[in-house]
Amino acid sequence: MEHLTEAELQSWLDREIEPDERARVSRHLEACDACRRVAGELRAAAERFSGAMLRYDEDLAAEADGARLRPDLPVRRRPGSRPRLPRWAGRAAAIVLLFGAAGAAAMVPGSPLRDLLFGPPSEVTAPAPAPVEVRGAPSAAVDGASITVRPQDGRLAVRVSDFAPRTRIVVTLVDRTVAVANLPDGAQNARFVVAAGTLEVIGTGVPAGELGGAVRVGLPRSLQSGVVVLDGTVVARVSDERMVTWRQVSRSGDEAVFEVGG
Amino acid sequence: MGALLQRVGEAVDFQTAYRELYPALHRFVLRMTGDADVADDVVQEAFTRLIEQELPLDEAKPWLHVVATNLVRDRARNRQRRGRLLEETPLEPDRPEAADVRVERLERIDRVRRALAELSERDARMLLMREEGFRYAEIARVLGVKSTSVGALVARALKRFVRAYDSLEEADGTSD
Repeated sequence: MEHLTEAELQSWLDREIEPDERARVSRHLEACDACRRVAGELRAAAERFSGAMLRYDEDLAAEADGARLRPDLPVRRRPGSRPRLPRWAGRAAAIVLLFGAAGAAAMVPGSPLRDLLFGPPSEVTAPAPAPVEVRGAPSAAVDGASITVRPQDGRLAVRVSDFAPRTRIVVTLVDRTVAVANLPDGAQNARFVVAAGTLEVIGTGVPAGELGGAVRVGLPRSLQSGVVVLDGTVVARVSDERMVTWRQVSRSGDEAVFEVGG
Repeated sequence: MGALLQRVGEAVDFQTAYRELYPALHRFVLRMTGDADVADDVVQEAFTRLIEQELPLDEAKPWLHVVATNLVRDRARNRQRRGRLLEETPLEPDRPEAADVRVERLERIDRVRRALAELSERDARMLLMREEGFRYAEIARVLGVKSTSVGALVARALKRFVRAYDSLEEADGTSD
């Protein structure tokens, strides 16, 4: 049996190949342990990179916040950095003022500008009964079909991994202060792992056909910085009350549907 | 947002471009440089230059990344010309409060920067662009490589980053 190349596997993981080719790679993977192992390694590398970048973002933001929060101490300037305003500062300030005013108008619920920019508010689906709410830092595995997680300093990363091919993940912006995740029926072995600012939703290879629905993730619209990582690939980001998505199967307003590779 | 989505080929209005593209471009430059001041300056400058252009949104996005990367390079060259170090940000703690927490944070930042530095600039940009949702065709156009090569290049760069990152973590005796 001729094995798949890393280029084919990476393109398959990144959903960068045509449907026919995609089906061929998927068929091969079902039959080939060696290629499945390589695909797993590539996926793990992508997840490691994404994880490192998310932590890097948080650390850089904390450093920047720390500098701003210390007015009594001089902010360290780099050698050679300019203490004066750059030439384009006037224009930039005008731009910022313009968008600041527009942004402020857009924040007002029911304002025409908000509707124009973001569309009408979406319906919020209530989570499953009696969700588990987890605050705080300790990393812990949490059983149950539903969970709510409070962002840390306005930031939250949701990582979804190890679900079977063709499992659907529905990500929605919600008007709540906590994130919500729900597992579908039939995903008894899936689990949540919560740590400060992160929620992992880990599947265990339950065939998608046996799941009674989709994995659902609701992200607070108010997040300063939110991200959804599906099998090592960033598929959604939330900031400024908006969600940007990539590689989705469909998108309708504040709801995006993704599908696990395969 | 649907109402304002730009049609392919239609010249973008500046407000839409700013709203759509600023966060990702800022994150990209911040990750490249590790310096929030530089990222603020570079991204503002790139958007200021965009005002002069009439580009569709799908072209403005890679255009901004190219311009921002060139601005980062210019800054590095200027600094070198002045005989200063490229890696300019001092990583010693200067805040007495929660010093141990900050030391760990600075070490993590340093680890990522060193692991990224193990890659060629092209490969680092490629991974950061992929992380921002760029498609292979866009990455290929910006970096001047064949679209069919991107999968292999991404796989190789990811493995190289992880190898470097893990060995730095091991050397530091830490684990995330």
